[in-house]
Amino acid sequence: MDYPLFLVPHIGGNWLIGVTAILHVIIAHFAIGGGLLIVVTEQFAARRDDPFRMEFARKQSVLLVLLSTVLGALTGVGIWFTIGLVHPAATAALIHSFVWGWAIEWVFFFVEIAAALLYVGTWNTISRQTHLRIGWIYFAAAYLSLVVINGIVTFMLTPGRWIETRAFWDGFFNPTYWPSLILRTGIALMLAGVYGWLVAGRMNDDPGRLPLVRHLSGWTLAGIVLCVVGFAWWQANIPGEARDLIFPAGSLLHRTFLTGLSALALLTLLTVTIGYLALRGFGLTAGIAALILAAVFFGSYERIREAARKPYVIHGYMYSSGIRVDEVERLNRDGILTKARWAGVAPAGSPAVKGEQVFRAQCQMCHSLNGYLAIRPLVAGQDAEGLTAFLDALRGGRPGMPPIIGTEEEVKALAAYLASLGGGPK
Amino acid sequence: MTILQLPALDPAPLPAPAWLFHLLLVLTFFIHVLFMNVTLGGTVIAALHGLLAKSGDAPGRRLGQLVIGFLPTSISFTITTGVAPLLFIQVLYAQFFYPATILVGWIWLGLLVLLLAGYYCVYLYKYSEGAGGVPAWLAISGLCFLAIASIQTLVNVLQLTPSRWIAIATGGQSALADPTMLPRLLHFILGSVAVAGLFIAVLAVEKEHRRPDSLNRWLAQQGMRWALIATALQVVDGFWFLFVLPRSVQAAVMGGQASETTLLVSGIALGLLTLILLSRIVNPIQERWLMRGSAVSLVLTLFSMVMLRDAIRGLYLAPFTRLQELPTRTQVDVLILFLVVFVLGLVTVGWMLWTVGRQRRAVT
Repeated sequence: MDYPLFLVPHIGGNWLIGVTAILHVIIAHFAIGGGLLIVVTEQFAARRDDPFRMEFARKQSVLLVLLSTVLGALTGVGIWFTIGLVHPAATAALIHSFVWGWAIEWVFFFVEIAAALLYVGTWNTISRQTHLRIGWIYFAAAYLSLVVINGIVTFMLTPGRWIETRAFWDGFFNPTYWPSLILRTGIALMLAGVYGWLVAGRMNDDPGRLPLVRHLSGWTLAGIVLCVVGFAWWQANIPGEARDLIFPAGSLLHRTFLTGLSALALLTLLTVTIGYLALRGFGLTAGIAALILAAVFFGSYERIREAARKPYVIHGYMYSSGIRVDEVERLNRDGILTKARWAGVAPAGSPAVKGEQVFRAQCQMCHSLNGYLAIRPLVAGQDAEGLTAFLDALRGGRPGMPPIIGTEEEVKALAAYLASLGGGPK
Repeated sequence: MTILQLPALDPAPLPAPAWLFHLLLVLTFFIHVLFMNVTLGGTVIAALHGLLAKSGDAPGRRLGQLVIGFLPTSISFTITTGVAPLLFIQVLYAQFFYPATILVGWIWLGLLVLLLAGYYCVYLYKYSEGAGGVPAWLAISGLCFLAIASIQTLVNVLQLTPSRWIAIATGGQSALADPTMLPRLLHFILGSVAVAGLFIAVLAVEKEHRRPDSLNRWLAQQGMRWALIATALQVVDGFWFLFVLPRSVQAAVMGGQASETTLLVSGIALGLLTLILLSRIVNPIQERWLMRGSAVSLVLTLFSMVMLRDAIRGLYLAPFTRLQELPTRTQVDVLILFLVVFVLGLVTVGWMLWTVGRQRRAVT
């Protein structure tokens, strides 16, 4: 709105954020669960003098560092980059309210990276006790960064009392803070168990291998239980309109919900069967299958959490077009183009069409002409008059979409522009 | 003065006084630049030596082995310490920062791809060490890091010059077309080579005192030479940069405004002091105190230049924003919590480093 638009062809900006974020959260949650698993395993192996488990812990730790300090840190920065490009107004709003939360999280991130590098670099060169202490510091810092960031992430869907008070803690400890923390703790444990299977699947046939596999199954199942409890509580605390996007058959996210649920059910089945009933059947295939199922479940949840916010980017406060709810009245009176400073900036030589500017100001954030959520087929064969009536009806909004905003004249211009698109895909 | 395309401020007040964010921005950026310098300069120096070396055990390759010892860690901390100034710049300069990144959005995102490629190539080099290290991996990393420096410079220049935005958005002007772009970029690259060169020399000297090796003297001398040449060139580039700054900015730092002028003078003085100290070192192994003196002087130069850079940003943006006038409502309790966590974090990291260092020394 106030900012130039960053357009991502074919998939749209939200998918760009989504891809970066999902990659990041998988690594970040794995860094937490995997970190705990490694330290606990090292402690266990030291106490029982078990070289097999010690080797398992060491191997896991190297990969954890390669993954979390490089790809994890980079995708984390990537989220900052992408949200700043796609949703600058929302990012600015979040930063003003929660910068101290992020600053606290940054300290934990810093400690986490330092501890991770030291932990991996000092196997067998410092005392076991100190090494374990560093491992615990690593896990604590990683988990605490989740404890902090969870407050900001959940805020966007359920800002709670913050809407009235604008107070940090009201936004932070919002209605879905605790359910989400339980769910995410579960995901971290689940990913640790599942990834452990993958590592065990590649280790030589040692008498210690199958007991380890059974032990890891316990981690996955504990994670699944927390996920179920957390999700049930989470969905009870989200706004009704968000629930309507997820649960009714045919709704926007219904299929994603079913996909995630099926993946979780299959993962439970696989873990119980291979981990307890048919342990001898364990192999690398089971590890890979479990990892895919866990990733599908987690990805589905993240997609649901992101998209259930529609049409807002901060629920009840700012629409995904970057327009604040409290601005709508003024913009309907004075015109949306009084705010959309960049809508009139077009490559030299292209004609200045008012309707196109209005389109840029409030539609193009989510709709392309021919690509993702394409507008051209939607308006095919309609004339300006019919479209004006249709857009006027959308002033009240529809599920998942912000209301049409602007003066009567602007809406007419938008209708004329849409009608001029000629209809039908190119 | 306002321009049409400058986005409106977010209506939420700042959660602490602007000066505090400003202080944190400068401090964390300084720490970031230290790690960044060691990373960028170290990679470039080691790649050049590696490519010019004729055989796997030539001294040039050994320099690569020294550098690879700290590179993965320094890259990690370059990223980690870079997040904090990224956070604080968004608090203070969102109106300038976001449009600048959006105008070159794909290039800005490309930075991440380059960083990923550069980072993993460093690991590829590290694990090719058995064969004497394949310098091509380091060369790729070096190119990636240089490209990242260029992108950072581009976005920085863009956010300082809002009056160019429309021309760039409509294709009337190239985003690169600013006379300060090249000298500013060179300023960063030369600074990185100087800091990394001296860092390599200091490491080699410390190594020599722990475990003497005929190679250490050579490594130290190479590091010193890089530091000296880069600092000498830096003086030339610094004046080039100064003379292409916009008239108003130039006037302010050259006598127009006392504090800005003081920063410029102290920066140049410290730079020259570093140059003199470096040029007096003949035998780095024996002249340990002169080495340490040069290192301290170089770090102080860097700090004063980071302050000057910030002052120059203030001068550029003075017509558009006044930080001290931004509305503020301090979140006292969260701020205190941050400070407590920050101190505890530093203590924790300090304790880990101290304990590991002590136990390792006990083993060797």
